[in-house]
Amino acid sequence: MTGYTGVTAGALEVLRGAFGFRFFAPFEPTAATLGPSLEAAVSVPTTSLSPSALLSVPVPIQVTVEGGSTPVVVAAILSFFVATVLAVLVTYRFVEGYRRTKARPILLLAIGMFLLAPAPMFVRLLAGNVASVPLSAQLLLTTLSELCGLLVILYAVYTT
Amino acid sequence: MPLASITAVASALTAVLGLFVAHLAYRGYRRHESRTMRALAIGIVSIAVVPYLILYLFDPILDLSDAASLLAITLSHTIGLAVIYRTFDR
Repeated sequence: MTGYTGVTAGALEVLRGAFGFRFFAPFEPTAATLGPSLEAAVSVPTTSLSPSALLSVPVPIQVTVEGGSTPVVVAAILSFFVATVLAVLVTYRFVEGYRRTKARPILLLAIGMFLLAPAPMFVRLLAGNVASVPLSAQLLLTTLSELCGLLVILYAVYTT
Repeated sequence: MPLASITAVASALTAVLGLFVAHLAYRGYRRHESRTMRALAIGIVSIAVVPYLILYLFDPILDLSDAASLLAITLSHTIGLAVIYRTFDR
């Protein structure tokens, strides 16, 4: 069971690395980043993130990815952004529908949809960039949000 | 690790509940010919059930890379949300 959760953690680690400011930060080339392997770590020595270090490092912006081949990682990130935008749009249309019709089930659908789709995506985006949020807590939070969203949608569907 | 176990149970519960809600929505579609309900059923399966299957079934079997499973999951999300969104434009 913990092994499976590890898989989830690994998949989210891709996002965590990709959306971190580290992704865009210049960093000192290491043997790993200079090598042909794309498995080089995204991790950047924290010392290189201080302003003085940023100025003193003359290396152009480099991006390395981990967790898969570069095209797949890029496709995953793009797809994640498309899904997030769609999730916000769908929730917005439900809210709009509620404001137009004042029908309570549509309001419930809007709340449920928000908890099911955009909310966990926001959590992934935000928590992925904050190192102080442990991945396990992030996973639990997103799963619970989805669960609550489904419960609200269940109530909406069940009572109509 | 207890937190990981809770997450595993919660995600399994999410998948089961998703299946149930999708079933109800699909039944609503069959009864009332409601296209919105059919879209909701497809959307919920794509958002709550398929990602679970990818992570806990296909990933271990096919030995997908992290990025590949993430791509599969986000594509599933995108398809489900697009299906729901399409019902608004009519």
